[in-house]
Amino acid sequence: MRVLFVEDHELLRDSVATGLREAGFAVDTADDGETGLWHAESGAFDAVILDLMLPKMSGLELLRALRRKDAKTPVLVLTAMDTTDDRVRGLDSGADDYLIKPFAFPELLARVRALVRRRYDAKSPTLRVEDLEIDTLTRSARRGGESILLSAREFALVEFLAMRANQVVTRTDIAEHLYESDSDPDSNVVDVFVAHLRRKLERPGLTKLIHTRRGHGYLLGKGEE
Amino acid sequence: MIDGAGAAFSARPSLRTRLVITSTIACLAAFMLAGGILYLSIRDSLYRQFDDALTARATALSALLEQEGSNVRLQADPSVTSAYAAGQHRYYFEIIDAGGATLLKSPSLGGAHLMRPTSGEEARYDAVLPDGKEGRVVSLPFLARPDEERPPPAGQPAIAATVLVASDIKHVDDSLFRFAKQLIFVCGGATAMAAVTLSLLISRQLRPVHDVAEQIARVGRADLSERLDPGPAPAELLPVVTRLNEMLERLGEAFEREKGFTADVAHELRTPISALETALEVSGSRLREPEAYRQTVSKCLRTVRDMHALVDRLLTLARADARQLTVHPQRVDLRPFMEEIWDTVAEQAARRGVGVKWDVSPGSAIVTDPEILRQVVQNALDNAATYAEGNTSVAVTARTRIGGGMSVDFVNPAPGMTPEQAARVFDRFWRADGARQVGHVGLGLPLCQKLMQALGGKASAKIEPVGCFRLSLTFSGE
Repeated sequence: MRVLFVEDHELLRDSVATGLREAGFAVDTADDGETGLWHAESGAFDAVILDLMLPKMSGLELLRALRRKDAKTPVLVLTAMDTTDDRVRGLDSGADDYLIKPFAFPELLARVRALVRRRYDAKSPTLRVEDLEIDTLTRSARRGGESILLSAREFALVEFLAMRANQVVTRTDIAEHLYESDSDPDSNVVDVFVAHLRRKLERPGLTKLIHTRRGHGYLLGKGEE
Repeated sequence: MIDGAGAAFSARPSLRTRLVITSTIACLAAFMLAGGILYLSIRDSLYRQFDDALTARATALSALLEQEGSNVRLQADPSVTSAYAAGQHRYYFEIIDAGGATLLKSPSLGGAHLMRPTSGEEARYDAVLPDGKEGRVVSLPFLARPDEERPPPAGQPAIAATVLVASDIKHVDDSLFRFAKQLIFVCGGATAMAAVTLSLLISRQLRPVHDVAEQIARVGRADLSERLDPGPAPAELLPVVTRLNEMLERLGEAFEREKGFTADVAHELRTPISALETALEVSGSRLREPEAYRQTVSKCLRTVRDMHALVDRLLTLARADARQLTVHPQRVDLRPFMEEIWDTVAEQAARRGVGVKWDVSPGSAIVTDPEILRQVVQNALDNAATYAEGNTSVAVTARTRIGGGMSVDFVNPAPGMTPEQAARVFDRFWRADGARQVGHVGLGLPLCQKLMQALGGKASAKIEPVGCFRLSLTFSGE
């Protein structure tokens, strides 16, 4: 899952980015409103965390500009502006959630996870595809009651595929949602990771879960081949 | 609190009460004056009538008197003389000769005499009558007519005598007393009626004042956006309403500014606090390499130092706002003083290729508080060095002002800056680029301005046509 964090305070930006990355998110950051909007419009983000008092372009302006073009990306406003008026204005400008500074990092994390779930119409933090069970809180996966050891990258991939279970997900989609903008992976890297994941999920005797749609991408689910 | 103030307010005599009392007193005085004048003129005219009647009686008497030898005799005419009969205590007469001796007197006088006039002329005067009552006397001199039947011998001169007629004046005084009583009664009644009418009229006329007072009482309870309606205010109160509305306007603006300032303070403090909290939380969430901790600690320290500087500036601003800064004036030699301060920003400025050009003659000095001046100059140089275009220099000029005092100017090239931006540099938390740079939260120049006020001078800023930002500090001559 890829998140954009727009914040002009360097220490806060770096700390939140580190915390989010350690929680399994791919994180892009921007330190002013204009750069933030450019990122938000050019990348595929599963959530945007937005400060309001930003140089060059305020958070609210960014939010309105973003909503004119993209109605889907969930936005969490993270700000010191705490009056009811501020909150109402923020939510009415198109924010999905509003968190006031100072905040506890675990709460920010939980809210971002909830936003991402909503983005993919998932209600429960536990995703189920056939006999595969993915716990997004503990970041662990089990198949047929047996736990599977996955790397952070592999978990991010299976989580993303599970969020869009039984849909074809293109390589570009995967690359865009799992990698930060400056890492620029080629589609080959995606194929390699899918291969790794397939090896761990599909033991002998179990049904095939990851299906390749040649020329399109991958699909996690029953497949109906 | 409000109830106490309300009670104190209602214990004061109201404008209405004062107006009613004073105008009632004025009415009473006017009625009394008019009544007094009326009473006096009526008394005067009654007395004159009374005296005229006495004079008529004296004339009638003198016509009846005839000379009889060296004496006078009164012809009997009951229509005239019956009023003076013995035992009757209303009218009296006495005929006296030039020497004042009694020639003849009315039976009503009995053994008594009337008071003599002071001159031989016709006169009217007050006197005490034989029965002890107050009375009036009319004296009328005349020459006795000779008796036609028994004329006096030739050569005997006509007797020059004086008729004194007197009467008791009690019934006139009684009438006057009754009149005076009626007058007082009428005055009192009229005053009471006037008081009631005035009270009603004044209440009615003062209603706009009450309306305005009620409006004023309501204002500010909910918010400061409410304005007084000048509609019901009379001409005298219109300036009050207008001034109050202007005051509310200014208060509202100050209130909004204060709210904005509080929001800015909240933002500027909450953001670094969140940053510290998150940094420590994330850092402590797992075991890391020593280098990672070192970096986090160093970043946190920088944030804490920024907060320290911010809190110091906020405190100084708050003290300056509350006029709690004490000024200890001393002679300050400007050139070495400012050069020393430049040294603290020189390194950072040099990194951007920014230098300084001094146009401060070595002898330039002012008498001011060096500690406060240090903060002013520090902020001014800091601002100039930070926002000067790269590879240019900051020009510092000190000039003695015509008429005393000194002005110190800091000029730095700032090509992108607009006059609108220059007009806002003294707004707290305003930054030209909106950027959060280390130590720059938009309080430096507002602090300069506030501290210059504390020093009795002022700070002004403008953008010059050539694209230079000029900050001028003006120190007064005293």
